Amino acid sequence: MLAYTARRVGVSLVQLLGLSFLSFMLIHFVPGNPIATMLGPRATVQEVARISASLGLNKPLPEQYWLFLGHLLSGHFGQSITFSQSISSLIGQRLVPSLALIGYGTLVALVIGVPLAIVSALRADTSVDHGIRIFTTVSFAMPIFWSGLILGIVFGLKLGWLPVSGYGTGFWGIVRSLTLPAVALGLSLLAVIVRTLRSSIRHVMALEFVEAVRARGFTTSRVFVSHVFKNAIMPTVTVLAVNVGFLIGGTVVLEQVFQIPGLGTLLFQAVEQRDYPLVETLTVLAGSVVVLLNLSTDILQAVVDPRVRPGAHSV
Amino acid sequence: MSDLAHLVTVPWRRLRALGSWEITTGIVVVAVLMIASLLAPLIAPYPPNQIDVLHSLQPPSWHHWMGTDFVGRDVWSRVLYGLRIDMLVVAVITYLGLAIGVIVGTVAGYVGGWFDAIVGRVADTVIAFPFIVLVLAVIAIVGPGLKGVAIGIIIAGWALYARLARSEMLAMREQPFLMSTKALGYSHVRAIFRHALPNLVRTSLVYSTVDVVVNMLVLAGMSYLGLGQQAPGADLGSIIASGQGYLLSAWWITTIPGAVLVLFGLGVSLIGDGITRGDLPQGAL
Amino acid sequence: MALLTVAGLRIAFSHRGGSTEVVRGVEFAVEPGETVGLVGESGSGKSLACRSIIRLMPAHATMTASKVEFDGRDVLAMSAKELRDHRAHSVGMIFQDPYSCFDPTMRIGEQVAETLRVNAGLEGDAAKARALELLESVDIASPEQRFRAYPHELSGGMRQRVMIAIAISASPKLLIADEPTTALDVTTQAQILGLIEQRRRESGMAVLLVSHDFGVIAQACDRVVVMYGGYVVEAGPVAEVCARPQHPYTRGLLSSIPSLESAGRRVRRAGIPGQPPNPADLVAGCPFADRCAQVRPACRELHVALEGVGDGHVTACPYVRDGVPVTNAGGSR
Repeated sequence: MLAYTARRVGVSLVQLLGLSFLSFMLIHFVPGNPIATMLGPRATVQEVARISASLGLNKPLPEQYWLFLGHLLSGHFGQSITFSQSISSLIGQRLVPSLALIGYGTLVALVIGVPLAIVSALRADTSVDHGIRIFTTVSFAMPIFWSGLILGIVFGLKLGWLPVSGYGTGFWGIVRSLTLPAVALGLSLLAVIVRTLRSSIRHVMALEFVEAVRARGFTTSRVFVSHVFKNAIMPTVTVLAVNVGFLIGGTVVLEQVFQIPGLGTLLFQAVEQRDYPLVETLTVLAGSVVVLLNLSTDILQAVVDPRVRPGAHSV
Repeated sequence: MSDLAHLVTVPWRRLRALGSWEITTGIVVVAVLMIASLLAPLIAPYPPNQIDVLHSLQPPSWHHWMGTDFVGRDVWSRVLYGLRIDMLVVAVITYLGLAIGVIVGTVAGYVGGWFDAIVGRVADTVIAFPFIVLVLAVIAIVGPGLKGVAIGIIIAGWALYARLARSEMLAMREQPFLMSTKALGYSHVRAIFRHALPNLVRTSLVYSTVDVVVNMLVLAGMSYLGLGQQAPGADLGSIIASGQGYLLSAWWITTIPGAVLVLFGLGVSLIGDGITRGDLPQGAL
Repeated sequence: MALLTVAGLRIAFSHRGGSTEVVRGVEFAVEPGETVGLVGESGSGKSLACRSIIRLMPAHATMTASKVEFDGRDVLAMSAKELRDHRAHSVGMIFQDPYSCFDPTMRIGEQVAETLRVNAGLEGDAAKARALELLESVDIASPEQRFRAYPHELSGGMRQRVMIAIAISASPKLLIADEPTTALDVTTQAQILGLIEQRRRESGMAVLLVSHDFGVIAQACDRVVVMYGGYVVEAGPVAEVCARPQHPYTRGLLSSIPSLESAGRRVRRAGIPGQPPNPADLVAGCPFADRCAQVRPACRELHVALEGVGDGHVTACPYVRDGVPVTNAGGSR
């Protein structure tokens, strides 16, 4: 277990280094003088020189990268030029709405997706199964901003049940304001969850031990809950972790649709304003979240499924 | 040449052999959308950018059967032209990404060594970035517009194909038929391109049915955000965005182009589904 | 009165474009306390036939029968609840591969205890204590320690012992053992068969032992039922069938065992030429006709039915007696 964890952590570290390097190189790919591009035509030569120096752009590349790494690790991401604020405090203000939206969206996807997957697996190849597959295919094909807008028209503007923009205050205020975007986000994730879970349930149901448990006279629901589901859920957790990048992307778009002041909006503004240090930091952070989540699900899987643990010793 | 013909005819024959309703429906849907968009200059009743302020925000009618937008442009005409540009861009970026990925991955898997190690790490790193975030970062460098989006999607998209092709190549390297080409004294390049590549491409083509949908959604998303197609040109994402201010008074500007996108995604997904299901033994999916 | 009577059993798999019958009118019976062997090659339908007793059909398989009666009760007419009860208390079952028959993510002891909680209504510590007793009764050393092990941490023989412990936990009247020793090495095979026999003698339950290995059956059973291509082709007391095999298939099967003394060894002498039939290809007539050395044209139209040759011994071949072709056969039928 320890050796496995160590090896898995090593792989992630290499990935994180790669992420930081590619993000670091970003600003160096900008044609011409990135600082001049960033500050716009009204900037003076002195200003450009001052900002370049403060970003360390006049130092040799390896030293710049070394400083960049050091800043990342210590959490000192530097100053945002457009917001004239430190990047870490900006991220601090914007983090919660984005996390809440991703969490809420995943929850919606699970609440709708898990029952659909179960029905689909148990009624495989029937018209119910086909119907569910078409439904999830449609939900996958919907542009996330479009389904957000449609939900907004119906439940916000026509029915007036939920707000269509902004970020509420207090727990219920936040829940209300995030419900429509979360449903849109959840719908986009639905197909992945239903397909993965459906196929792993079918896979487990075909295993011999399920027959053995049925032979003991257990009820269908007991066989399903206590044995099948438990063995089938792990691939779905892994797929969720793999798709967190997809969720982050969906959040970036949805925060624009519903005007939620989260990291997605921040990234969008940074891109629009060409605030390179901010883009750089947000990019590397988003990638790191994906890497770290994948790492933790792999380790979780080893904890849950005793067979994955190498070196599990015989009794 | 015969190899190329093979690449096209074999999947097609298999598609027909599978004969599922999914594939048939999917092909019909995609073909209709493709033909409609190709024929846009002939079908479209109005020039896509023709402003007619007197007839702005008209609901669907005989004259404008998808209605008009806030400056009186015909939504149906704009959708046709928008679809045309979107389909073209998506086809180019998806299959350019596929070509780059397959070639790089195949070569990496074949030659191994440091080249393979670098390709593997870079691909893993690129895949770790959230797709849209990476596209946005590239747009920050290249600047907004279809060019920026296209470059961004290709940079983010090649990596999965490279990983796919690389692992298939590693498995295939051990197979007798490729080892025998070596024994016969074929050059490496020839061995790869004549024997291994067609097999690898087939896997990637199946995967590309998912990728086409995802890329279309990302492209539309970027245009919706105002980072893709720039005014006055229109694509589906930017048409949807233009209707956002009139959600209640002119629902058609937003809903109809989106529905066309859904139709496209559904058609492509059905084709992909049909192929995958036919490929795998029953019950495997 | 027989403990179990199965008659007219048919099992078919449905698939795209029709269905394939894999069990085609099978009958057999088990008396209380006896050990009956069900022998046949893979694809003979023996595993499905034994599952009919608890109506444990795989997906897409449907069974029909004129009679499946267990202990005076009609298994075919049981409601879902009665069927669960039947499976939980009257019949225990063990399987070929003792590894894949356990939930891989659950500790061994927990799987035994779960059965006790659900089927015997025991709770908490009582279930655990009883589970430990059961593990001990199937000769598992240091049961406390094994209790906490995961299936992959035990040896094949040990897993099969645990399987037996679960199967007999409710003191069933019948134990179905579907190829219980096939996945095990020779020494362990003998131990497991010994354990089953010991438990049978102590509890008085009957055992239905399914195997492709006539050696195992000959060693362990009172009576044997030989299956081929979805039919029963011969049945009778083991000693009688071994001494006077009637059906050409049984004769071939027996000649492939080196000798009864080395029973259980998986060494096979060339027995019957050819491959077991694919159920989908079987049309009419005797299923063994294609591989039979004594085949005659009439075999292709034979209506397969069992006829007695004395002493509870039946055969489905009307044309051969004791290896000698019968000339006037068919006239009497």
